[in-house]
Amino acid sequence: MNRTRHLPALLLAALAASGLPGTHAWADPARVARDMNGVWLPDSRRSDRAPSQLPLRPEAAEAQRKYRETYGPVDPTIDDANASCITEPMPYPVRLIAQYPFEILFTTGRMTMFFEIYGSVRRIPIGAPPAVLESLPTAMGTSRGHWEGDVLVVETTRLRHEGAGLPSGDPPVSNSRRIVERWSIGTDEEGKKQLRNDMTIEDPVVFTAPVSYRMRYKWSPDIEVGEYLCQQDIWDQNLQGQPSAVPWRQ
Amino acid sequence: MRAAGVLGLWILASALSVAHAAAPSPPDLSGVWLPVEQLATPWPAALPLTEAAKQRYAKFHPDRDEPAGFCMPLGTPRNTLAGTGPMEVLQTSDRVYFIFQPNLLNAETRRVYLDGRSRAAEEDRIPTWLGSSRGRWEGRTLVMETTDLEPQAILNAQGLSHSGALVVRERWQLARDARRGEVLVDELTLVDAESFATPINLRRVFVRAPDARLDEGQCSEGLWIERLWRHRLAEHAAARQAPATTGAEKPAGAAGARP
Repeated sequence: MNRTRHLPALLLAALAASGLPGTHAWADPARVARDMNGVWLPDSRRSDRAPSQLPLRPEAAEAQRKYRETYGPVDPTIDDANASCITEPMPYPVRLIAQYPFEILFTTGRMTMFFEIYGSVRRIPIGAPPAVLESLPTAMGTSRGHWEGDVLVVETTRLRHEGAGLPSGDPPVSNSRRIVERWSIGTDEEGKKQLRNDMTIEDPVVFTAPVSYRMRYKWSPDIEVGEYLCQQDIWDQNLQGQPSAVPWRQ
Repeated sequence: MRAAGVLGLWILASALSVAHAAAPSPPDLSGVWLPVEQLATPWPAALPLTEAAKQRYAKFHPDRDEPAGFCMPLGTPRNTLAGTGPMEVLQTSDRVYFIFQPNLLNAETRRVYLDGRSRAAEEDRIPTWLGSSRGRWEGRTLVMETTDLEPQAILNAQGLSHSGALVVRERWQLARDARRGEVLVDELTLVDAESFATPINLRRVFVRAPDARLDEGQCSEGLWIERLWRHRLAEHAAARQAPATTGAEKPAGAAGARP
């Protein structure tokens, strides 16, 4: 057998196995995607909390102070957008440590995330060119993903401001906000399958430096993402013939 | 020797291709589809309603009894029947998801499992607005059945209701329409002996719409903007005019309910 005759074929096979020529020789995005498919719950013990002090630019801090002074005190029964079922925008659903599950489903050229919280659907095209049409800002934003070895890097922009906790005095969100997530699969110290999201929020209009979170999620094959009936209480009160105590809901 | 090897490979490849042809791969329904109203069958003029269903139907009042008016889901099968917006299909070998995101309504995802998983035990079943769906491929037809449906949901805007025993049987397949090209056809049968003396058959047809986008709807946003936001800003403005009244004594209320 002449080994040199087979060398080109062997090289081709090695390249094919590596996914992309020249990089990440052992990367296998298809396997990682299969491992990410399914239902996940936040691992609150192993995930970061919001920093107590955000690196606000002086203008943003002043805007926040002025907002509180002008519109405070806050009445959360009616001033809180989220209590009124307005979806809190990204990164809220992936930063949440309360036990709301989400589901990941990979299909050709796409990762889709189904969040139980607010029933949001997040579409992440992978390896796609930038969208030609400019879309309006939304709670999930406009996302694009690409593989760097076994890490799915997702960039999200065009996030809407409303519902981002403004009425309760959270820092403002600017049009420049950009979230970069690095999604990967690993194991926790108990050897259990773990989904990892190392996330950075850039908003140069609001923050003096990027804000980073390290989020971890538990593999939860035995549960399904449930229906999130945000308005259930209003509907129930209606069925019982009792109008809501919240004025705008009557 | 080499010729025999090549012949052997050819025979093997042919055999594999015959085996492949015998079990056709299911069609790919993935993508965004728009309902074609003109090709949908209307509800029967004379609905085969039982006495209980007739009474419920007569009492329906849209302002009071329309769940969507309270931002509750359309529910299954109304989300599929309504024809009000685009539908996205995500398909893998073991599941098909139908995502409905009608304008100004919240997203509804029907999850249909094809992996033969069993249904929950009778005592563990909880009715939901989207129901519990199982399906399988029969040749090129996706055959599915949905049960455990919430009886608070209605079937159409006229208030046609169903009981918790409703079973929705569907057959989805690709077809060709002379004018529209490839279409996706859903033949539905609604079986609910408590409500219908005979099953109701309906057809819905969807056309491919690769450029259609499913944008985020926010059912409560209209209420939020119109009734809450503007009113509250006006209240704050009024409060600044008369600073004697403060909101400091207002109840904490839903603060704890925030997820």
